[in-house]
Amino acid sequence: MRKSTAIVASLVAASSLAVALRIGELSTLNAIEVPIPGPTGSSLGPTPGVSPTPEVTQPSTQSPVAPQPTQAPVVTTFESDVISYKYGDVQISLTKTDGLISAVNVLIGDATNGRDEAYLILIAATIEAQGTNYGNVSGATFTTDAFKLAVENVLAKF
Amino acid sequence: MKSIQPGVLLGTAKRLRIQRRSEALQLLGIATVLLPVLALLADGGAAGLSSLEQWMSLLNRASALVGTSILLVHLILVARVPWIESVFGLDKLTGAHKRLGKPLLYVLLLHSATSVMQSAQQNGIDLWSSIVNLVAHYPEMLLALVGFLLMIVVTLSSISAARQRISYEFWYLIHLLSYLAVFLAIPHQFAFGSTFLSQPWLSAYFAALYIFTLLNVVWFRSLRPVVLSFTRGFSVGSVESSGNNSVSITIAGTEKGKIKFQSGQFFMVRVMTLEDFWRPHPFSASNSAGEGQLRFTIGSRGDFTERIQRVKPGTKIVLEGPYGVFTEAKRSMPKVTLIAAGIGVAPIRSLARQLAAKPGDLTILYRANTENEAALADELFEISKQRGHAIHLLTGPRDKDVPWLPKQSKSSKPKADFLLLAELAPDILDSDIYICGPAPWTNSLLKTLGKLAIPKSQIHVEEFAW
Repeated sequence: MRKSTAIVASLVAASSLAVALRIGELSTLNAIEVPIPGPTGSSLGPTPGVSPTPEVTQPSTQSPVAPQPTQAPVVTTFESDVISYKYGDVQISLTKTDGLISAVNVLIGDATNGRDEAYLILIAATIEAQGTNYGNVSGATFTTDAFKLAVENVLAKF
Repeated sequence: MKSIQPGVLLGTAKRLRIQRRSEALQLLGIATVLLPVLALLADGGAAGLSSLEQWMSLLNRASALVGTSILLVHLILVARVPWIESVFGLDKLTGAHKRLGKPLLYVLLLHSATSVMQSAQQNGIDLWSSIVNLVAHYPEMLLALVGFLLMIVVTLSSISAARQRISYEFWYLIHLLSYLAVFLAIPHQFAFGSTFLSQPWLSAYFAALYIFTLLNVVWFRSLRPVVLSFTRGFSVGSVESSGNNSVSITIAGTEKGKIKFQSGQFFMVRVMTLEDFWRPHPFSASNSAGEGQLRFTIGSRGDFTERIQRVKPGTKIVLEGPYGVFTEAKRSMPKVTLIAAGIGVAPIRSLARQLAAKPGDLTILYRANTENEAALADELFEISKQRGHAIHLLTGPRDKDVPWLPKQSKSSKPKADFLLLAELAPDILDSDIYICGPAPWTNSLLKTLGKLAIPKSQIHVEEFAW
C-alpha cells in the first residue's frame, strides 16, 4: 500500500471511530432518560466514574421555558450494583431530591421479550411507594424481584 | 511471427490502476474488521463505563466482533476467489493468511478470557466455576469451547516449528478441522451476542457475511474445480521427457479454447490416483493458450514430482485455476526481461511466446547448471529466433558471493553483479522483470536488482515451490 493511502485510511478510520464513540455516548444518554411524571422527573444520565461519590447537580429541565427554581434543591444520585437474575442483569441509578426518591433510571435492563415495559411500571411504583413496598408486575415476577433487589441495594448507599 | 496480442495496454495509468485496485481490496478487508467495531461504539458500547465489569464486557464484545470479522477475512483469503486472486495472486494471499493466523488466535483468546471473567464477576464466583457454569448450562457455549480448542490445535500445528516436525499430510488433516471449528462457534454468537441481538441489522450483516464466505469457499475452493474437470474429462494426454530429470505432460480435454488461461499462470493439479488424489500441486503452464493442449513441465525433485514422471496417459486429472498474476496483466513497461532458473523456466517459456513484443523488446536470461539440464531450452531458442528476443543461457557452477550467477572465469577481471546484469539485459531499467526460480536464487537476484534501484512495481516474482 502506498504511504499516502495508508495515512488517509488511518485518518478516516480514527475519525470514524471517534464519531461512533460520540454517537454512542449521546444515544446512551437519550435511551436511559425515562419519562416520569412530576416536577423533577427529568434527570441526567449516568456520569462515568462517579458512582462511589454522591453527585450534586442543579436539576436540569427538559423545556427551556420552565422557570428556574430560586433555591437549588439537593439532588443526589447513586448507582446500584449489577443484579443478575434468571433472564439477565438489572442495574439502576436512583436519584433523591431533598431526601425523596425523584427518579429511577434503568442502566442495564435485561428481560425476556415483551417484559421490558415492566420497567416503566416498576419505576413509577418505586417513586409512588418511595421504596419497594408494592406488588409484583404480573407476568414479570423475576424481573420485579431483581428490580426490587436493585432498589434496595442502591438505597443502602444513601 | 507477429506479436500475438496486438492491443496490450501499458503505461503509468495502468500501473496506477493496478495499484489502486490492490489498495481498494486491502481497505475493504480492513473495513470489514472496522465496521462492527463502529456499530458497537455507536450503539453505546463504550459509553458510561465505570466498573471493571463494564470494561470487561466492552472488551468481550469488541474482541468477539473483531475476531469474527478477522476469521471471515482469513477464510476468504484462501477461498481462491477469482476477483481477489486476480489482483494479488494465490501466493500473496496464502502469505497473508499465514500472517493473520496468530493475531486471530490472540483476539479469540482475549474474547474467551474476558467472557469468563465477566461472567465470574457478575455471578460472584471464581473463574473455574464460571467456566463450568457457562459450559454446563449453555450447550452453545460448550460447542464454542470445543471450536476454540480446535482452533488452538490448528494454529499450533501451523507454526513453523511444528510444521517442520509433522508431515504435510498430517498438517493438512488438522487444518481441515478449522472448518469444523468455525461451524461450532456460530451458534453461541447468535444466541448470546448482545451486540448482535440488540442490533438486528448487525446480525443480518454477519449472517450475510457468513453465507457469502461459505458460498465462496464451497464453490471456488471445492465444487467448481471438481465439477469442471469431470464434465470436461481432463486426463493425461502425453508424457515426454524434456531434458534431464524433467517431463512435459499435456492434458487431454484442454484443446484450444476449452480452457482459458494467460501465459505465466498456474493450475492446482490433482492426479486422480489412489496415492495422490487428495492433494493438489501447483504447476505453471509451460506453453501458451494458442498452442493446443495445456502442458506442464515438471522437474523431478521429491516424492510426488518423482512419481508423476511415470504417470500413465489416460490418468484422470482435476484442474483448479488458472491462478497467479505473473502475467501481462501486471506489465506496464514497453520492454520485458524474463529471468528463469532451473524448472522455473516453465512460465517463462509461456511468457516468451505470448507477451506482446517487437523484435528486441524482450530479453531472456536462463540459468541452469549445465546445458543438458536446461529443460525447454531448445524451445526458448526457437521462439527467440522467430520473435527476435535476445536470449542468454547462463550455465556453470554457482558463484559463491552472488549465487544467482554462475562463477566468473578467473582469466578476466571479475565484474560487479549489477553491471553484469545490465550488460546481459541492457533495457532492464525500462522493463518489467519476470522472475521464476527457487527461493534462494530469487533472493540473490533481487539483491542485485536492488542495487539498480528498480521500482517494485516493475518486478514480478513467481516462486515455483511454496
